[in-house]
Amino acid sequence: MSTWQEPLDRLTERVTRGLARATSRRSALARLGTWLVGAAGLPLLPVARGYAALPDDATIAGDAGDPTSCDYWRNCAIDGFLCACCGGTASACPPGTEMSPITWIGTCRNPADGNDYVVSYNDCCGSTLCLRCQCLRTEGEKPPYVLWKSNSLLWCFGTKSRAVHCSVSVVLGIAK
Amino acid sequence: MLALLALLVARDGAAFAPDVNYALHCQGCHLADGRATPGLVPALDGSIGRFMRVREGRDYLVRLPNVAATQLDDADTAALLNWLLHHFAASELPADFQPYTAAEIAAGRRQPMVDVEGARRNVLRLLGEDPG
Repeated sequence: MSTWQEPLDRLTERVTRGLARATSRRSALARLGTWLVGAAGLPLLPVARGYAALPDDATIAGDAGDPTSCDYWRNCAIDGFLCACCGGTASACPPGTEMSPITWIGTCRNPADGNDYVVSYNDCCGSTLCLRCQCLRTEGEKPPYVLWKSNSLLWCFGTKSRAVHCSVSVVLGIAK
Repeated sequence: MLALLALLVARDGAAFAPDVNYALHCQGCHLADGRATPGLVPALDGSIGRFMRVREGRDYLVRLPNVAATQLDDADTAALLNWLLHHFAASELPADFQPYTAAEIAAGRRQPMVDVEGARRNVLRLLGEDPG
């Protein structure tokens, strides 16, 4: 479906390269801050700490912004209609739809605390397209090179219906 | 400045721990708990370890397109597979299991697997299972 395009690979790209450090919209000062945060985490890397599961993604320190905006930090690689505009929330499907277990996953930086979070973009399936708050964020994406990471796919896999309604941005934890 | 440079290199080289790489590169389809999605995605949980019992199974895991072509270097890919095997299937690993090395990943990912289904059936046969 052509209206569901793009954003995928930018996540992986950002992740493997130390992320948003390279994006032009960030100032050198912000980048420096990022490195310092990363430095604090480096000694922990050899230990399989990974992303500590967050009990409730609404409790993230400093979480701020408008979940119905494409610019909301969690939506940094979303392609679809925001469930927050469609009767659901940033992390919950609207009633009558089923969340796809198979998802597109990447990271977004929370400007409030400077952390990179692992974010799962789950499609909510079983109803016609919501058509409200359509977002498409693809910074850094290179689909011609990494076809299988395209977020333009419909992700209603493993659900009773393949009809996509909207998409949520579920924070899974901190990427470190 | 040197310190900053070193830090930059370090972050570019090994950005994340294996479980984070699992989330970013595998979990979208294999799910957080590695369970199967019937008809779409085979189980990792309680399943993947037995592939280590035969040489062909060990090679199969490395040469799978979704493993071989992942955007991780050889060392991170080896660490990810080793983490995954212990996380999802530690009890199935043979007693003489040797962890994957970066060199093994480097060699395996340079041998494209054309017939994935056929390779899987062959491994299952070697394991004494019905390849379906």
